[in-house]
Amino acid sequence: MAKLTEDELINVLADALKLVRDQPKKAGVLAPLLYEPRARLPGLLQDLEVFVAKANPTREERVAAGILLEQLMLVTFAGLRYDTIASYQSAGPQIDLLVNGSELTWQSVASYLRIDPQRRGIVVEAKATEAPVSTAQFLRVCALMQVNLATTVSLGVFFTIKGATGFPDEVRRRSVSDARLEQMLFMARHRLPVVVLDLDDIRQLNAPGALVQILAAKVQEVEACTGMRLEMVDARCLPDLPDHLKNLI
Amino acid sequence: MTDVGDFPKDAVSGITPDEWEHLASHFEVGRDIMPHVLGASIGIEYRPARALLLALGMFGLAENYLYVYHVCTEAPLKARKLSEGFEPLPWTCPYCEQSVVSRSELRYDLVCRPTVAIRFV
Repeated sequence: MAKLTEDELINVLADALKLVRDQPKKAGVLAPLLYEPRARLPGLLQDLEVFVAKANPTREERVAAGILLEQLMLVTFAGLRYDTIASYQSAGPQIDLLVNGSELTWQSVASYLRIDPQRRGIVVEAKATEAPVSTAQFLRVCALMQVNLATTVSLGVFFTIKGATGFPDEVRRRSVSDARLEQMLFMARHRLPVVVLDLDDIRQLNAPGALVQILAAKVQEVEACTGMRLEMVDARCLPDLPDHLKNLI
Repeated sequence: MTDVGDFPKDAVSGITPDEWEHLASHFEVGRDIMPHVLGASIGIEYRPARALLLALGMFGLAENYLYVYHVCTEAPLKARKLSEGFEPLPWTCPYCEQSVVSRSELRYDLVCRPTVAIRFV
């Protein structure tokens, strides 16, 4: 009988999964072991719902929402199997969150997200602004990753209510502009994904595995848009096939 | 009558034809099966045994669980669905009644509970 520590179990299961043929559900098997929602998360999510339900928030309420979103960001990312989590302040005034690790389990997180195993930190920025994240705000995180955290971080995350400018919403968007354009350019030039979580994503975070599944899907989506490593989005592409092809598989 | 589900052998590699032959008799609806049991009875290694048990879950033929152990005793103290992740802390051990606050005190192993009769095809 094998009684395994959490880290050992994650590693042996990840190793065993290599023997299983690829199929859509395979990606989700390890996720609940890599992200466990913290006990404080549901309460903070409720507070966020109260704020977004307000038609005309006052200035004080908007400031409070900014603090709330930063708390949510910290509690969410503390649910990952990280080694270190710290606030990070570059020479500029803004504070971001840095999540990192060196243990095998964090490497499992990095591998799950398909980010560089050497440069495996994640930088996160919360934005509770009324408008979506602008091009300038988006570029600031890109610059941070490229200039200040160039050897340690390879995933940028915006933790937002309203998303970012130029991102697809309900319908498929065939043209790119604004922050979405910067995301694609940054990916193409530097091979570094910067992804954006919005209110719909945040609402799903209270399920085991949710954060890593959402991040992995978003990283894949950035790559797919730039035409790189398309082979790994096969399973997700199936529902997207036109009718005359869908029925053949 | 019990439902029957087919599991395609080509979904998992690393299992010999002889091992496939002997596998079927070890799976019964509702009876927990662990990797080391398959190892002891038919000689299949842990790695492919774990792969098979996980794949049965993915194909909807079984539910995967984790047995939770505390360092105070040999026996498993509870089963959690794999999809629910590790035991959240703090946790009160039902055997020694201590409050567990450190992950280093807990151990886990994979379990598979078939939900239908499985036919390996």
